[in-house]
Amino acid sequence: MKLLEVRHMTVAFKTQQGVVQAVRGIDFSVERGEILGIVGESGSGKSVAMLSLMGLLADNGRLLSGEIAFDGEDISPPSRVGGQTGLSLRARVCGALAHRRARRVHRERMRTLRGREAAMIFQDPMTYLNPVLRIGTQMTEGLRLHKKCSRREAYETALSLLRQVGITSPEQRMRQYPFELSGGMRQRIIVAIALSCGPKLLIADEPTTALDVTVQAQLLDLIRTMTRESRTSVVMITHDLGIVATMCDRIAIMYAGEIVEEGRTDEIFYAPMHPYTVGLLGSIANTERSVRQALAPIPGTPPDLLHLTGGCAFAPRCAEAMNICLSYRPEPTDRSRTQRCRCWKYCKSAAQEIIIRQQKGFSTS
Amino acid sequence: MAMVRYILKRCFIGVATLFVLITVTFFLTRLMPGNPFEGDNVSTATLEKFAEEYGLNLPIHQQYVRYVGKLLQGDLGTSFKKPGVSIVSLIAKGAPATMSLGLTAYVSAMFLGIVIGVWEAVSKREMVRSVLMSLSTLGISVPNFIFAILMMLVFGVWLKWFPTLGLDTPKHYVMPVVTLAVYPVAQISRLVHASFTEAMRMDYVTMAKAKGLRQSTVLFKHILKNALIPVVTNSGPLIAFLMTGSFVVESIFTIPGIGREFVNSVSNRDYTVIMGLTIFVGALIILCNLVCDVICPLVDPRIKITR
Repeated sequence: MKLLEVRHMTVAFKTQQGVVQAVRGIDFSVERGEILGIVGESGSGKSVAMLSLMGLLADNGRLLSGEIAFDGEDISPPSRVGGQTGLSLRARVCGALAHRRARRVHRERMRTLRGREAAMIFQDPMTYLNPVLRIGTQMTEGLRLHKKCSRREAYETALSLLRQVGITSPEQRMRQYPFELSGGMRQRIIVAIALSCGPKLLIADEPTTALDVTVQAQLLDLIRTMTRESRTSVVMITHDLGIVATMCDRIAIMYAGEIVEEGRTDEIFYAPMHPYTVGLLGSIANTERSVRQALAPIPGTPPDLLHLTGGCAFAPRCAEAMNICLSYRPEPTDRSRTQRCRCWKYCKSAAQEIIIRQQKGFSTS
Repeated sequence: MAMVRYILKRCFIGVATLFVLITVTFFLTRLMPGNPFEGDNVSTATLEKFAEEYGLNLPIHQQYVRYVGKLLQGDLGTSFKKPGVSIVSLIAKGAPATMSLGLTAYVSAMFLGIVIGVWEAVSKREMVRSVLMSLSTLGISVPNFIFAILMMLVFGVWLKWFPTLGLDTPKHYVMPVVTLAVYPVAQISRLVHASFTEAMRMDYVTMAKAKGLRQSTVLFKHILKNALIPVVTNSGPLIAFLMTGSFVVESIFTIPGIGREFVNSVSNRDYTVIMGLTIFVGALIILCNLVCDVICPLVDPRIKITR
């Protein structure tokens, strides 16, 4: 059974310059005990998608649409039903009140879900720990709240967690403040906090960027053992294709707020479909190759999410772009039961229907 | 250990500062035109007799040496204007009123300032924010004697809710404390508003929310503790400012405190009283700053007391 299923998630940020479409209708799912890698360049919407999932968006961000099912439970935010004209004032007021109540209930549900059932590892160890609270306090507060355990029990659990993530003399660390510890140690503490309540889903937002290679390996090992032993599912956000290749069961490639390709790790690495995926793989250095060969970067820069055109977002940088790519959005096409891709190369046969659907869509909206 | 050494060092610096203060004030008071015994119907002979009696006819550096010498023996002297009244008894009489008033104002200003500042930062309603913001602007810009007189008129004379003179019952405290606290409340609330808003945007807040903590825990444990750092650093000067008395408040409400005594002594050229009160107030300010600096590391562990 699927632990997490997300459909049509759309997230936008209101800024002074306009509305930034950070995530544009993504679908993905995670099985129990599975590690899903989400790969994409900065600003492709990976982190934003995960933050919206957890209900942690900044105030100017809004989850516009999307259905989220977690462990069989619908946790999508309540949608506003009001706004219909013709309703009496009374009906409208009642509707608004009901909506507010629904939102409060949803907020409370998300709060109890966070940390206990779904936990998150953040990428920057320097800023994600509170500078004025002791490590011990920060380690145990979640435990005490979710597990309803005593101070003593929480302390013992925290100590063993610190040992698990490879921190020496944990008793001393518990009394220290974040600024007294190195970046690597802080990152491991963030990991320990995320693991503390034994979550069913772990979202790791570039968990190893700040660490040196040896610690990186330790941490990845820890995450892997966890998924194997307690069937924890992991969503791993990263730039590092090397980590993805060794850790993940499945990979989703994100570009400009869309999942452009999704598939099992071997499918993505051995038979990539989307030109962007091909480009990404072409830009990794291969030390085993005997012939010296220049890396092939992808020309151009990612599009401005403030001003997106109707076509495929990757088209301006794509070597294989066709005319249709610039004006109509490709739709996901399945190649196998596990691999699908959003590119006109693969949905040519359905072009007629897609174009008609999009023309209709644009004329109504 | 480091703490004791630090405090000792600060005390030493404090004494040195006080000495500079004494020296500068001593010579400045003598530079003021006029002298304590001037008056319309005082003859030159009497003046000279007084000057000799109090040592005012000596060259100024000798007067200074004499004063400091006495001071080192713990003798602040007696008032010129009120013969026989020692400076120590003058301070002992005025200080309790001034300091209890100041402390009450300080505590209420801290409490209200923090509450208003946090409310301003947390509230999502534009209305609440702009009303609080304009109130604090008003509090900063309107001089406190206007507040005092308005309050006396409305609550003292028209409504007769509070007495307007003296400092005998708790009820007497209300108006002077409000007058004293208006400015600090506005100042603290702006400070808290700014630092709280900034702290709310920090990554550790996202992390705290990601742990599933209650909204109140996130606000008061994670954000407020960070937001209070600038308030604590600023509270030393503030408490000194409030405890050393306000001439305006003390004269309007006829409170027999230090502030009133201070201003009277200056207009009377009552040299010893000026000196005595300057030393008292100076020492109090130095002490408050020291206490504040010792407290700071408790709020912000990144501040370490060294040496």
